[in-house]
Amino acid sequence: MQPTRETFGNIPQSSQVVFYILTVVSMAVFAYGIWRRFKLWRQGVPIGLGELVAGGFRRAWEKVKPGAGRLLVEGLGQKRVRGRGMAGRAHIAMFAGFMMLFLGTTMLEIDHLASGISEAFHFHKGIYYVIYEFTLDVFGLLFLAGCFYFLWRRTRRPASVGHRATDWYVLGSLITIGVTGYLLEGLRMAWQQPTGLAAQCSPVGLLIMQGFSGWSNADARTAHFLVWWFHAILVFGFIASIPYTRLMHFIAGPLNIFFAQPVLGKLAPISMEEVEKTERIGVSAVTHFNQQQLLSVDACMECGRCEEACPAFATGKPLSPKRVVQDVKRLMTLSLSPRPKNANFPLPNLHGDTIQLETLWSCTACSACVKVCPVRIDPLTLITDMRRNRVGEGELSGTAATALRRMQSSANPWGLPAADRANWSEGLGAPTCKENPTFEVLYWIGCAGSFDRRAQRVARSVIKLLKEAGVNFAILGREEKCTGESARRLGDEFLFQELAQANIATLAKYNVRKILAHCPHCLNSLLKDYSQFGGQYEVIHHTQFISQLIADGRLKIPSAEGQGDAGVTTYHDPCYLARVNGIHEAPRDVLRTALGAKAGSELREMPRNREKTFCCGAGGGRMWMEEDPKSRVSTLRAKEALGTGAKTVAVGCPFCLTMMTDGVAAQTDSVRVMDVAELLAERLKI
Amino acid sequence: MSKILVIAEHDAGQLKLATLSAMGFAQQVCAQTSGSYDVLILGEGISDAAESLRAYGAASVMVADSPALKEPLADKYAFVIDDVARAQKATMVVGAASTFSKDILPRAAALLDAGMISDVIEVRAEGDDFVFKRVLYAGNVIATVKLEGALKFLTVRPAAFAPPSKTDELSPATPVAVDAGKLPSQIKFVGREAKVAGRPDSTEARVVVSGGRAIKNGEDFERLIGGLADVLGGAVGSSRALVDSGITPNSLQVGQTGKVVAPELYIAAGISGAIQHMAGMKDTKVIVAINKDSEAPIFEVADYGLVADVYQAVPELIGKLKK
Repeated sequence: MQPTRETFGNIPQSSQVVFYILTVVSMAVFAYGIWRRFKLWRQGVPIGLGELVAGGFRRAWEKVKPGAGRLLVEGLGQKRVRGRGMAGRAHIAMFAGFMMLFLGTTMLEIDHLASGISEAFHFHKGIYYVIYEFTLDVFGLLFLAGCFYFLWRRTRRPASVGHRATDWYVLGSLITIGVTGYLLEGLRMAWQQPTGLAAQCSPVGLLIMQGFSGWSNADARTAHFLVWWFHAILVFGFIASIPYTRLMHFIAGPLNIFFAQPVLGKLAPISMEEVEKTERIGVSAVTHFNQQQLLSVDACMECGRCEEACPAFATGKPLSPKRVVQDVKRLMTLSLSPRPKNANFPLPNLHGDTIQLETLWSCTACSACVKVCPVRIDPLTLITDMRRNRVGEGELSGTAATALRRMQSSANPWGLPAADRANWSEGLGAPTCKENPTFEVLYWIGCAGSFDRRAQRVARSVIKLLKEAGVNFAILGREEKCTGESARRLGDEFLFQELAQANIATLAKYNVRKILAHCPHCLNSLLKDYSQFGGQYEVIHHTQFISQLIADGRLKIPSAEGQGDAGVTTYHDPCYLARVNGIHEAPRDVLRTALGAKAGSELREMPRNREKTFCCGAGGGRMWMEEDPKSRVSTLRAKEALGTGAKTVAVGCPFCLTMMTDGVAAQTDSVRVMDVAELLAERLKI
Repeated sequence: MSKILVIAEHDAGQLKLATLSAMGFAQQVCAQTSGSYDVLILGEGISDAAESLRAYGAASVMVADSPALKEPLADKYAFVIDDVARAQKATMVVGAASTFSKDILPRAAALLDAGMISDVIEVRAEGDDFVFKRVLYAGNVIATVKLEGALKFLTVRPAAFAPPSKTDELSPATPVAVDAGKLPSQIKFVGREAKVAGRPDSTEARVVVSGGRAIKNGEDFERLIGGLADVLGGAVGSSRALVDSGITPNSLQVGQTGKVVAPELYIAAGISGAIQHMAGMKDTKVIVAINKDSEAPIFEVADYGLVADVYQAVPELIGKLKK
């Protein structure tokens, strides 16, 4: 006899009928729950779902392909779930087990329906059956192992992980379904008494069967029948509860991975026409978010990775990205669900009641939360969308508002005379575009490089290196204006657009194609913001450019003698360079060259490095705000840097330079903070 | 012919010197147009201040002395100014560019349906009218403007106009009757928080001495920075680092997130010169820097630099200045 088992074996016809009725009921409850959430999402600003499928199959596929790829790699492949130690591995085990059991059950049902049509279609037998049983047995163990890990973890209540009463039901139900599944197998084998391969292919079942060795066939059948119903009812309850519990991330997670904007450092532009039409800027009510954003908040499992990565949260500011997402979700559920008409309590507002101003201003736009979210939720865009509205309503006050006014009046955030912008470059031999119209690369100085005496030294070092390598470059001089990057991140979209348009016109006048910048914020803005307004440039960071000059042999590096005195050095990755634009090896290459091979010169990494870097605290317009000295992001990060034993902290961003200098100086006066270019110039003695 | 009404400003009876600049402006306009000006002072217990205003050639010093005007509440003050300006048939109402004027003059201008411009730094008569220059965008732009209407409200930058020349003959002091019952009372006086008297405010002082991270504690700050400020009759300031470490109070901070000062002399002692600090003192006339680190960026903006330990140089400086 070939190995197989009868589907619905030991289950009488009447029970089978009830089983199918319950199947329909639980599916209906599931579908209703999803439909309810879908109706909530639909109330957001349309994202053009119809567009996705318009224009024939081929064009539709082109549009769907990137999302489908992400679904495969990040959904099925669990790529973004990795990277949280045991919890990430446990989720992958649980997920793999669950998906395999789900697939197995589906295959079983297909076989059952197929054999119903003709016995010729019956495939759940023979070698297929052996592989099937064995695979499910093994993956079931993986599933249970994952579940038990999470049960254990939940009893310990990690601070960043959300807790709800229903979580015990969810975990309990998953574990009981898994355990009763094995019990069922053991009992089935107890009355079926399979032999040889048919028994050995279910090792766990075989083991459990031993426990029933003394049982009569009839007893085993009765117990099997009872456990079967228990198992079935749990499964029905589980399916039905998906849209009403944390399990909703089964649906919303993959959907969000499919629809989410995949590029860090990009913000959607607003047009004047849009503002005239909608009579508002940004988001002041939950329906002003777009449909994908509303969907995304339902995908949140409250795993808390964003909270752990958030520099504002780490320094006790009133911001947790997870909280923002959950608060928006609560408000969405509360305000968009159909309510009884005579409800006499007022609905909470988005601003003030749900999200506080201080929460919005606390964000450094470092993008760490966006980067770590396993299901691609983007708390940063939720925040900037709300910031836009608050800035538009004049709710931003204090020094940041002053900085915005100064950007408008003087084209730099410090309000220094625009006419003085190029004063620093006098006598350096740095030609302007007008003086050197045949330049190959434009060196974008930025406001800090132009006005901050400390950052001017970085710009001078870069210029010395460019001249040393014989690079044909030019600067804009007085014609350069603030990129408007921090205005945009603060939410002042139209001030940003005004500055961007002026800069784009200037860059077009000189036919600029390739831009070199030492400021990652300028770099990101020129690259990702300006392209939305017709400015297409190749933008590279000075460390990339210099690293190329070294590789090409255009910068002559002296041999072992005559090196700088950097000593043990650590490198602080700027968020907008490493995380947002993936540039983290070029600065290290240049640093290694600058440090040379002298004893004592060594590059040591901080625990949080490269794409996992921790913000200096100046991004997102925070540079222009006062921060409580007791809980400063820069102090925290400087402590991490000093923890490496470094005598030099190297940076690649003028904001980081300012913040790290402050943070380091507050703790020691024997460590210096230097830009990578300065260290190389020092080594080359130029 | 101009008929100018200058609104005097005082702090609990202590005349603010900026008032004299507004009077200087009035005198200048009168000289160009053969007009005359009156000064109006409002408050309670202001006879001394009113007295000191009489020596500058005003047609009259009008004194609105009433308990109801004890605190400078905009609604009440504007009401009185409205009355007086109508009675005097004033063609210009002028105040010094200050928070006081920003609060009160626009309200009075609205009551009189007159136009207003602020921060005037120059005036020139042109026919029957005037052409004014005023600063915009933190001094980056100077706008040349005309103001329409028979009655003009202005605030003038104190630094742009010298005090009026003194006259031998005293202006007559005339009381202004104030009917407290008629005054509006939409604004309530809640309280006043005054700084402890002592050194001048850094935003108004002609000399500011600021200390930075080099200063180790509060006593040293008082001895070195305070001591130097006192011998120079100046105000004290501090960099953010000292505020952070609790050595100086928040109110002393100069910089991007603190006060913006524009003294004639700024002495930066032990301050490295981060952009956030420089943003608060960029309009200083003469910058003197004292710092141990010869590489400190502050030396790039300083007119005079001294590479020295603050703890050594400042006491020496105080000693020499005392002689």
